[in-house]
Parts: sequence; structure tokens; C-alpha cells
Amino acid sequence: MSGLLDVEGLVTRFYTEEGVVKAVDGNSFRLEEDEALGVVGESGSGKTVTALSIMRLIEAPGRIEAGRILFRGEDLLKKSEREMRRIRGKDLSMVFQDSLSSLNPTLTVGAQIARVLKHHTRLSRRARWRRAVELLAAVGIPEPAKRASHYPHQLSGGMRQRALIAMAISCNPKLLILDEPTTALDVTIEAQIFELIGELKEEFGMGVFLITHDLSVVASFCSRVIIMYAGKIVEEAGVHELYAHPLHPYTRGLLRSIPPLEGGEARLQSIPGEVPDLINLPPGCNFSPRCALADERCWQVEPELSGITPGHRAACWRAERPAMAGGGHD
Amino acid sequence: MIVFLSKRLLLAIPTLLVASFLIFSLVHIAPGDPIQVMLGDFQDPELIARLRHEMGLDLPLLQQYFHWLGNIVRGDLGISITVQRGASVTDLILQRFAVTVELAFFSLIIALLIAIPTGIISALRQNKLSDHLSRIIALLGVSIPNFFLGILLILFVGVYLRKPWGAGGYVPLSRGLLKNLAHMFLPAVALGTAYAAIIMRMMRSAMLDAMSQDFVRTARAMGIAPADIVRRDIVKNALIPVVTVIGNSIGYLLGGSIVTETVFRLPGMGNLVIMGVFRRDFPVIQAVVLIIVVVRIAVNLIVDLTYGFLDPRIRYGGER
Repeated sequence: MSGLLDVEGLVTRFYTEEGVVKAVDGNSFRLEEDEALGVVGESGSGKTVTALSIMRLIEAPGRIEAGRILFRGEDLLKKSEREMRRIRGKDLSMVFQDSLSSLNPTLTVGAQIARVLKHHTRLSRRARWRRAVELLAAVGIPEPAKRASHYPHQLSGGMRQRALIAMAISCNPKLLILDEPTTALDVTIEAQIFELIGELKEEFGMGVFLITHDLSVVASFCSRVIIMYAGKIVEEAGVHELYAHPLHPYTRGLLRSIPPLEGGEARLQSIPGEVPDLINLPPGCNFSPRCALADERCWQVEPELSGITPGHRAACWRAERPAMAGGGHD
Repeated sequence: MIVFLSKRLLLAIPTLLVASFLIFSLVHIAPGDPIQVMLGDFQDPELIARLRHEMGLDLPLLQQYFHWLGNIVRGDLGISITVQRGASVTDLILQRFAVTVELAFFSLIIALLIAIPTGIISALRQNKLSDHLSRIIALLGVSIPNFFLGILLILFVGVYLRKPWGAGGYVPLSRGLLKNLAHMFLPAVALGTAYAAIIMRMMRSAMLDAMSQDFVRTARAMGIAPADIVRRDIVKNALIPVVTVIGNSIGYLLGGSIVTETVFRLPGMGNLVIMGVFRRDFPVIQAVVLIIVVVRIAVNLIVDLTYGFLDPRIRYGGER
């Protein structure tokens, strides 16, 4: 049985003058139909590179070195560039983070949406424009007919992000990748955008791959989460399970760095140290230099991502299995 | 739009005033005067004084300046002293203006025809053989002075190949468009080559810049065909800075035409100003240089208007 997206042993590296950057290092995960999967990690953890690898948009000096990316059962890594062009924007689509730089400043938003339709549908010129206006209306842009003939700089940040989403969903994709779609927006707009994506997900029945560094966004929007650290998946679980029983010390660190809603007296804790250099990764566990629990084994041998309880995987020697969990609170 | 235009035109007035003052002072600071040139070996002090008085050259400089300025405002560019004694400078310029404009325009077209396509190809095939080749040629193009290229062209086409249109000289339009253009071809190439090289390099770097923009990645992520991405995402955005460079270096074309016209014996404004300088014909020099300044200001304005047309982020008159 296969999901909507099965990524197996994905390795993506960048061959820079300073050395080989191991941006994504042997990750496997699955995304089911209609599922919203969250990917969380600091900058440089390999979230965006994972997404661009799935889209096959890795450019030189980057290269996908190994693995399989099965999208609806077919390996995207075996597709020609021409075949990929038919898939991108149609079945597999992506929304980027900075809406101002991600839209062409010299084309109206309507023209940019219509152009995607031109490449994937047989609609007439007029029908494409009409559809573009409909899409702008569908993502909640007021006066869509007027806005369609506006240039990106004439729209607000929230509206631009909606336009970018309208463009990405214009051909009813099966999988929508969102790369930190709300980083440039303020909180109220952020909430509106996620509400919108949630509605669209229901309406079109698409899978969503949401990249973010914000665990609270994931909690409200996704059913499952992957935590990435230094190019590797370090933990994967259902959202509730992850919040209730985080296994990896890094995940626990991330959760401690979210301000609590009630009784916000306790000081927020940050994770000491920095993300390791992806060119010179430490031996053993990548997180060991920052980990309070690390011992001899962690410094020397790299832990595999393995199932601790059903549906909950972690890559940590010190991950506690429930049976041996001391100091639990049941 | 109209507000923008009138604002710019108003701003041009002080620019022109300053320019006219600079031109006037520089011409008069330079040693020698037209009377000396006119009289040649026969330097009779009394005659010199009389002629200077007749032409108002003995008045204080500032008074001469305002007198000249006053005439210009009334559309009178003055009377030539030595180039063609007694002829109105306006007539002299009118006779020659078309030649210079034709040369500049022809050079511009040749430059753009060479520069834009090579710049695009060079950027799209970055660090490949065709990119290296066009960059080397561009470097040569900028490095060779246009008068030298002109001489080489005359030597090769005119002297070696013995083509009648390759030896310089001007054929007026009345004797046939083809003949006229044929004689203009080599001067335009000589003048346009260096210009082409400048634009080509600018186009290449603007293309590379546009290619690394996020919206290009968005277009790729939407499955847009490469040809469409090159046309509407890359070239369209790359042209914005290039148009500014094109406009700003129109001055280069006008300046270069002075030398080129001399090499190819073209009776243009450059040729006129050179004669004016040699013979210290103050009214001629002043008028030609002033007209070049006016043309530059006009071209800059046109470029700014084009810029707004290419880049929707710039809109004049405050409408959003």
C-alpha cells in the first residue's frame, strides 16, 4: 500500500567550494491522501531542501544523490524534466514564503494565475482570466475582478500570499507544499491564511506538506509532525502524541521554547549551542554537542530513526520507551 | 503623468541655465579668439580692437553671457564668425542635425541588435563556450577606441575591398535611401560597437540577476515552460535596468559621433563643432554643445517614461 507521497532514503547535497553540504541526509517519510503533515525545524535543518527535492527544483551546485520520491506510486526522480513540468503546478504545487519576491513584479496577479492555467489546461484566453478571477475570489480576495489586474506591489502582504495560494491551487493539485507561508505576515493574517488553507484542503481533498518553524501552527493545522535537525528527521509522530510524549531531546527543547498560554511566569528556555555545520557534521548523533543527555555512545554512534511506540519514531539513543519511562505522570 | 511631465520640464530649466553658463565660460576661458584666427598672419592691433568691438567681444564676460542667453531664449543662436562667416548658426546646425541624428540612431539600432540577443544568450549559457566568446568580444569592443575601429573599417572595406561606400563621405537622402544607408553603415558600426559591448554586459548581468529571483523559482514550480519563463520572467525584468543604461549612454553616442564624423568625413554636428573649436568660432561651439545638452535631457526624460512603462512599480502622478 502506498500513500500520496512516499519519500525513501532521500539524500540531497550541495557541492560548494567550501565542501559538500549534506542538506538532506537519508530521510524517509510518508504522506497519506488528504493528510496535513507538518515539518518543523530551525533554519538550515533541511526542510526547504526536502520540499524543493520533491518538486525536483534543486539547482546546481545541489544534487539529489539517492532515494526515491514516489508520488501517487510513481518515482519523480525517474521523470524527465518535461514530464516534471506537466506535474508541477498541476498535481504537485508549492507556495513559497516571501510573497513579494515570489511574484513577478512586472505581471498582474491575474496574468500570473492565467499563465499557470495556460500551461496545464486547454481553457481559452478569456476563460483563463475568468478562472483566475474565480480563484482570487475563492482565496478570499475582495473585488477579485479589480484585483486581478493589479500588480503584486499594489496588494497587501496578506493579499499577495492569498494570490500566491490561488496560483498554486489553480489546477487542483493533489499535494500542496507550503514553505513557511505566513512568516512575512502578522498573526491575525496568519490565522486567516491557515483557515483558508484548511478550507481549501477540505474542498479539494489535497494533501498538505507544511514547512514551518512554529510548533503552535502545526498543532492547530496538522495531524502528523516530522521534526528535522541538521538534515535528518529526528522524530515523527501524531501531533497529540508528540506534544504529550516528545521523545527526542531536541523536540523537548523546541516545545519548551514555546510560550505557554496560561501561567506564563516561567522563563522560556532556549536550546543552548548552534545548529552544526552541515559540511563538517559531528560524529555520532548530530544533536549530541547540544544535548544535555548525551553520553559516550551518542558522541560516537549515530542513532537510527526507529519506531518507539506505534506511529511514533525517534532517532535517539536516550529516547525512553514507555515501559521503562521513569518519572511518568499518569 | 502630466504632473510628472511638467515637473520634469520645470526641473530642466535650472539644469539648462547651469549648463549654458558652464559652456559659455569654458569656451571663453580657452586661449585664442576668433579674431586672431580670422586675421591669420595679418595681426594689426587696431583692426583687432575694432573687430572685437563690432562683435561685442570687448564687453565684460557676464554681459556677453546674458546677451547670448537673451538671444537664445528668443530662438537666435547667433552668427558664425569663422566657420562660415555671417551664416546663422541655426541654419548651420539645421543642415547638419539630421546627419548626426541618423548616425546616432543607426548606431543605436546596430548596438541593440548585437547587444540584447548576445546578452541573453550569454546569460542563459553562463560559463559555457558561447558565453566566454561573447564576453571576450565585448571586452574587445569596449577596449578599441571608435576612431581606431573606424580607420580599420575604412582600410578594410574601402581600401582593401574597394567598396565605394566604405571610404567615408556622406550621400544625402535625396540621392537614394539605400546609398545613404550604405554610406552610414560603417560609421554606425564603428560608433555602435563599443556601445553594444556596454549594453551586452549590462544585459548579461541583469539577466543573471533576474534568473536568481524567487519569482523565477515560483514560475518553475508552477510548471511554466522555460521559453515563457525566459521571456516574461527573466528578460522582461532584466530590461528594466538595461533601459536606464541605454538612455544614460546616449550621451556617449553624441560624444562619440564627434570623432566618428571626423574619421568618416560626415557633415554632422560633431564635424561642425570640431571646425568651430579649431577656428574659435564661439557662437558655433556654444550652440552645438547646448543642443547636445538639450538632447540629453530630452532622452533622459524619455527613458524615465519608458522605465515607468516597463516597471509597473513606478507610476507617475501618485495614482496607486
